[in-house]
Amino acid sequence: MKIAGITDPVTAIGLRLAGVRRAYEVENSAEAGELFDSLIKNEEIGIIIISERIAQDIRWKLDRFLEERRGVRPVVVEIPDKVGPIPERMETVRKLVRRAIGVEVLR
Amino acid sequence: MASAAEAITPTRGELLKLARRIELAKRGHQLLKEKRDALVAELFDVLDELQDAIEEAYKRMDEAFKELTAAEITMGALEVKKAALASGRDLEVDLDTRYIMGVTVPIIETGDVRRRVTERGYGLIQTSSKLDDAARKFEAALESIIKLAEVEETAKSLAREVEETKRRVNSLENIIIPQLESAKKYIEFRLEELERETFFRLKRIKRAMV
Repeated sequence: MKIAGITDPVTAIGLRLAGVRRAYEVENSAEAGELFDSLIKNEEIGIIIISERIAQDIRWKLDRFLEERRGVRPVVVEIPDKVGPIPERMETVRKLVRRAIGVEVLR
Repeated sequence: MASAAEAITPTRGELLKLARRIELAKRGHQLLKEKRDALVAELFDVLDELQDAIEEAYKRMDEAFKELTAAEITMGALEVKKAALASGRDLEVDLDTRYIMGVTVPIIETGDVRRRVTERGYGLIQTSSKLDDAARKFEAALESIIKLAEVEETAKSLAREVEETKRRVNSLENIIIPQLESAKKYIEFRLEELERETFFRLKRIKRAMV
């Protein structure tokens, strides 16, 4: 399977340098949403790498996808962009853990 | 619990059946509790791993972006972009699954993410060594991103399973078992009542016969 990226132009350059050919640049959240939809339908794609700030814009889409996904494909992972990490990064995991265990356990 | 009581017929057979169901529910409850505790322990381990994986990946991304900027300064942004476009290969990843206590989690395997300079596909004459540094850093970053993907996905799946198991434990503990027990009490009560009635009736008949 292959890796695909949904990122800003700078990160896309970085991913390509690392050997990810399908590093797509998006301009706005509408584009990101469309791209995401087509990527999850593509059986070839095993991992989707997505910039945090873009992920935030289409969060509802990501959440719904993760709810409905059967199996593990594709794995979605969020990465920081050039500006640096966003404080909400851990929120998705933290929310799940809080619901599961009932207390904060993450640093 | 009235609804549960109304639906049942107060007979000894029913009482036995209920006792068996309560026994089963309690055993299930115990097993689920054990499963939940084991899952939570597993989740804690994975969360530790996750923290490390995030830190690692984020540190490497940061370093890589710095090298990229350096490369853009020496070569010009356009040249870097051209080189990046040429630097294509379609990295093959293998997405497999394994089970942690019945929870499906991914294992991601890749070939070598890191490449030799000559394997990157861009021309070495037009490009600066700064670009090689940037590419090397991004390859390292990609490696830890892939690791992060695996660990984060595992943590999420485990957390979801813990939640689901907890829900089932709670519903057995707070709804199903109390319901069965109150039904059992109801039958016992009715049976005792019937017994008293019969006893009394016999006395009356005896007296009438005398």
